[in-house]
Amino acid sequence: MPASAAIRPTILVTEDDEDMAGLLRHILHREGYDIHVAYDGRAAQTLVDTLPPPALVILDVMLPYLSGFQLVTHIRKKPDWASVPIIMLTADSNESHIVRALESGANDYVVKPFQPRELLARVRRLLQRPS
Amino acid sequence: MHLLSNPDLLVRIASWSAFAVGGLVLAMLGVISTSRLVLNLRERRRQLFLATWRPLLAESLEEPLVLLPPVSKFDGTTLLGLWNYYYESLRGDAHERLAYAAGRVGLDEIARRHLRARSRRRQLLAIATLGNLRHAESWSDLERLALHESPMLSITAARALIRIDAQRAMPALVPLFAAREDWPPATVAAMLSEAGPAVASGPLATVVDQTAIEHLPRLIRFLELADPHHGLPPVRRLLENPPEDRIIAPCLRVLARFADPHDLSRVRRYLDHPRWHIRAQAAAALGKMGTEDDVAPLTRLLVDKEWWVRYRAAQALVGLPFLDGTGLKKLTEDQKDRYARDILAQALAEKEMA
Amino acid sequence: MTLADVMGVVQVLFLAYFVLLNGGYVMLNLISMITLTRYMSEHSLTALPQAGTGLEPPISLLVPAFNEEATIAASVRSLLQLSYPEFEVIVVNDDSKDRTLDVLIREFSLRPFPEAYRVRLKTQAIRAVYQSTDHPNLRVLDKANGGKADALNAGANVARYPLLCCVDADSILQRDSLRRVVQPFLEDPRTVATGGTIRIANGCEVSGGFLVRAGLPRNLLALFQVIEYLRAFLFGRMGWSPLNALLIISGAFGLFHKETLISVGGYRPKTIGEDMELIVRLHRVLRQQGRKYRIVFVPDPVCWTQAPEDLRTLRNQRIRWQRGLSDSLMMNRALLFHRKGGAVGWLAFPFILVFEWFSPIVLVAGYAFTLTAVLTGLLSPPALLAFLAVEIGLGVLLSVSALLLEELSFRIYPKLSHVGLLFLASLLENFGYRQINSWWRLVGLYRWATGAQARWGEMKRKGL
Repeated sequence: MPASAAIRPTILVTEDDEDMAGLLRHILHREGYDIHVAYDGRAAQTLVDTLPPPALVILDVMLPYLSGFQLVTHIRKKPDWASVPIIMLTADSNESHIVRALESGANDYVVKPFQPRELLARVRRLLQRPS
Repeated sequence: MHLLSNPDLLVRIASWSAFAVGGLVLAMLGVISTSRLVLNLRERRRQLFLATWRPLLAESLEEPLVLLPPVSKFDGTTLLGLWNYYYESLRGDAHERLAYAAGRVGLDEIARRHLRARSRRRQLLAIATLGNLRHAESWSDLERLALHESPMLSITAARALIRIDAQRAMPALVPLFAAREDWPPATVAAMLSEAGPAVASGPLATVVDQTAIEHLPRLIRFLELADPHHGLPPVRRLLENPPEDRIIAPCLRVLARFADPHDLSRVRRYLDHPRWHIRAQAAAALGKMGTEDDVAPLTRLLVDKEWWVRYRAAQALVGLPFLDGTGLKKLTEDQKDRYARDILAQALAEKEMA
Repeated sequence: MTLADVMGVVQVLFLAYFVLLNGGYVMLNLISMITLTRYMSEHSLTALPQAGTGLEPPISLLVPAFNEEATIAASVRSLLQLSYPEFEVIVVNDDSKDRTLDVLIREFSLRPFPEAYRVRLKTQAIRAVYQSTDHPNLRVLDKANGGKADALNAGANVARYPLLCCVDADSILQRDSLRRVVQPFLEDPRTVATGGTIRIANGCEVSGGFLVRAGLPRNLLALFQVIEYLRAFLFGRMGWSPLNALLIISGAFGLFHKETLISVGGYRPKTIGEDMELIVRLHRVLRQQGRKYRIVFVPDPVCWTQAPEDLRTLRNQRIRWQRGLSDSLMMNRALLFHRKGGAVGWLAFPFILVFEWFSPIVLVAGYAFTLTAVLTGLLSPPALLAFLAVEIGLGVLLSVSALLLEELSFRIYPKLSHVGLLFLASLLENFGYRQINSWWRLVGLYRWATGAQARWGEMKRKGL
């Protein structure tokens, strides 16, 4: 577990549902991460354009204004964000969607309904990877 | 001007009506404003409640919380909504954690109370909750609700029964799956997958013989979700002597689903059937199970007079695992008929796109 | 018989018309109130994620486009963002004179696609089918000009999915609109068409093709139209739907069972109100064939449309609507009192014929009559005052009851001050707006009658 508050890594979460965002915020926060939540694709894009790159990004596929796929493409185009790991969160187990997510530059995906522990494990795995 | 006591009767009636109408307008405005105020208060209360309970439920996923604040009866519906939302979005041991938290706050009691509510929304929430809690004591209530005329209510109840005890629920539900035309097939399919083939297959196969012919095509489609030992025999039996043309296409779908080579001759028999949708279905089935011997008959269907048959035949050919890109290209070039060439070109382009 | 007697009889006739008209609306209002209350309690389990994932049939969205180079890319982008498990978007470029097609090709990386589609509805020639390489579910048809109906028919020919959703390129859709209007298809397999509530976008905050916040327009004309739309949808359509007698689904957004749409011949090209004509024809043909079917209205707001804010545009729109209404009713007049006509042939069609199609004549005649009666002294000022009070009062009552229905259901306009403003508008519209509307519709009737005559003459010459 990350120890001191000073070096808490940041995670950008985009999720349009408030209950889900609350849940993600909570479970990630107690694992020791700082969370930024964007409730739609446009807000997420603004954060990507203004924030320093976070440790990780969790993207919902179905978002208002800009889809998760479009956001991945946008993130990968920005030089300082290009290597930020991205996890896609999708309600859709449709295989072509998953393939498309990975092809457009996501590092991993989690299908809803999901296990909080599994999500955390994947987050940890991606963060341990040397960048 | 003494409108209300005007000597002309019509004028008097009109004046009184105008007053009555005015009164009604004011009354309606009153109702609208009051309801708006009440709703605003309720919404504020809901937000306060959620602000407390979202983190509480999230925390209980990590470690069981023994002490949870009491839930006032005004907040019961909000809690049911939130709890179910989390339950449906998560899986694995999160379910046990949520069930434990539910036990601590007496969610089952809240749900039981909501079951008798007049509002349909509350009833639905209650049914979903009891299913997710595996609340066996509510079995007979849910069984009754599964027969309710409202599709929403009955489907939710059926799903709850499956969650409580799929084995016990199946024999009663499968006849409903066939007969309830108002239950969307995809919803039924989702329920059958949730129950799993081990539980669903037996009852599905048994019920084929007892199902009225008008519901048979619907039921046969669900056999695709059974295991092959239970799914195939009734279909083979039906195809021996089909009681009605309408059941043939769904039977062919089931054969294609299991793709047993023993059924090849059964499928091939229908490539020249007078009904076009049966020809199309047979072509599609061969796409899934066909051999080299089927290339020629499928190619013949490329010039069928019905577009769907040509399309399915082209898709079938393009999807055959032993025909590669060059083989298909040659096949396209060999076609003298423009229809055949066009449809093959489209199927090829679609495959490339996917 | 003296003049006064004649005037008396005429007065009673006008009164009877007035009483029947308002009585009809009150009945519709009651039906809506019951249906809506029930609907709201039945359809609010959307909070659960299970309600609506992968269960819905796939939908083909048809978007006719004519000279929309400035907006088409944004519109298509927002359509691709709709929240629905499986759908495709088919844009039909109806021979735009501007760069609509080029914009589409550039923005969505289109490339020609060899599509062996089936010509099931006869249309103008399709020049090419394009497929987007970025979006697997986006195709564009480029065809010779044939009008909106023809474009929709061409789209129907290449559509792959069992349901067709016809939308205007400039409509602002609610993100979950497809999920909402598809519900009747899931609940009743006899459903052949559904439509939802259309709202006015003026005064609302729109961003990226989606509505961010509902609001009311400052423009008075647009505000009056907000009230009109509330009345028209919340009880005009909601009231007819449970009787399976809904005669209008707006062209801005409608969902159809493809096979049924094709079996009745698709949209009729070169009509003014092709959207209404299709629905009336669906009723007529399916009734005549004795088929079991349902045409359903869902009260959910699905689409927001820009209302004209100047008199000229509004006038043209209303004239066009009246002509479209006339065409739709006349072309399908066999439905009126048809042996198998049911509620639509025996109630809705006559009601609309008498109280909507014919009403501008009665209203304008009524005003003229009242004016004469007052001038000749047959109608005393107190009587005039009393009748006017009832007339206006009932108008306001209907508007306020629409507000009440809105309160029972979706509460689109969040603030109490919105309700106050709408109430004021429903008072104000009685002084000028309603009258000028009737006048425009009368002009529409006149244009239709003269235009229709010319057309009928033509058809006679062709021996039809």
